[in-house]
Amino acid sequence: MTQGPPPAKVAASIRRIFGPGAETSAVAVGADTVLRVARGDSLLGFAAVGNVIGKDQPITFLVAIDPSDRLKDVDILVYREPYGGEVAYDAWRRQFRGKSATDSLRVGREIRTISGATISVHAVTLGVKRVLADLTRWRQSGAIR
Amino acid sequence: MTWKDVPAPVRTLGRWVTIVQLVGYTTSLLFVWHTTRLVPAGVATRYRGANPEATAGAMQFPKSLAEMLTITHTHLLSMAVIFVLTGLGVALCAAVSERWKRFLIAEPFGALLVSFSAMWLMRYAAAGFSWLLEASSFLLAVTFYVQSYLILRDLHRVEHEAA
Repeated sequence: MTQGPPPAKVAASIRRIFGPGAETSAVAVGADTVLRVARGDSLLGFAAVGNVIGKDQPITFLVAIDPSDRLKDVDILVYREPYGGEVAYDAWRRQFRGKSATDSLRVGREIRTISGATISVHAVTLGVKRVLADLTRWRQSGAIR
Repeated sequence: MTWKDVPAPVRTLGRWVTIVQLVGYTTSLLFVWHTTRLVPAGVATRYRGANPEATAGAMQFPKSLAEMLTITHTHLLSMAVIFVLTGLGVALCAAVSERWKRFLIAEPFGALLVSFSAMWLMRYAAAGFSWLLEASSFLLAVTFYVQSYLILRDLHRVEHEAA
């Protein structure tokens, strides 16, 4: 997690994914930070920010999971390259919804690629798999609860 | 002035630049065939996108303004350089009439402007402009291969006579 996104973008993403009134608290897990999302006493899920290198530049994204460890949504927070920004489109991102860390996420199979954005598709898919695996592992170990 | 009056090392340069440009241009046509199958509908989809729910395989989204500007300026400038080089080569051909020389030299520049205007109209006005883009690009390619053939034929003749 090398590049920090603007906090306002993270807050907007959490609001979009979990709905208005979602409150976040940061939980440190080693060198990483996980956002615990709740509304009152009700746990809504967790989110973490990741970075992957696209063609040349880092792509900063957020992965959110629900309390049953299923992927709730992915958001592209900062896209820096001139090409491939289509990975931020809902039509592509929605393919990840409902997936768990044990599900297969292969480009060209479960995840469709995007014409003209092949490198970004592969990079973001790999990044999402990593962050989803991290969040699931931390949940199972009790590092986040 | 014709290729015969040009120093031999410059003729060698002319031949090899033409050969490499032939390989490069053919590769670019193969790329377009790979992405659009060289049919107007495929070209229009590549620029205007297609409903992801109604298609299988790779998703295709409309090209952004930034992508359109990048494609236009990189192609226009680089292709202008290619046709300056082939135009110079044709201008030095002895076996081509003055009238044909002027046509073959000017046509690519006109076709470039028509092609890229058609590309913008296809993206933002109507998909039907893909036919104009296809026709103009076809003429551009034909002119390029004719230019290259004439240059290589003229250079071959000059070298043959010199030997």
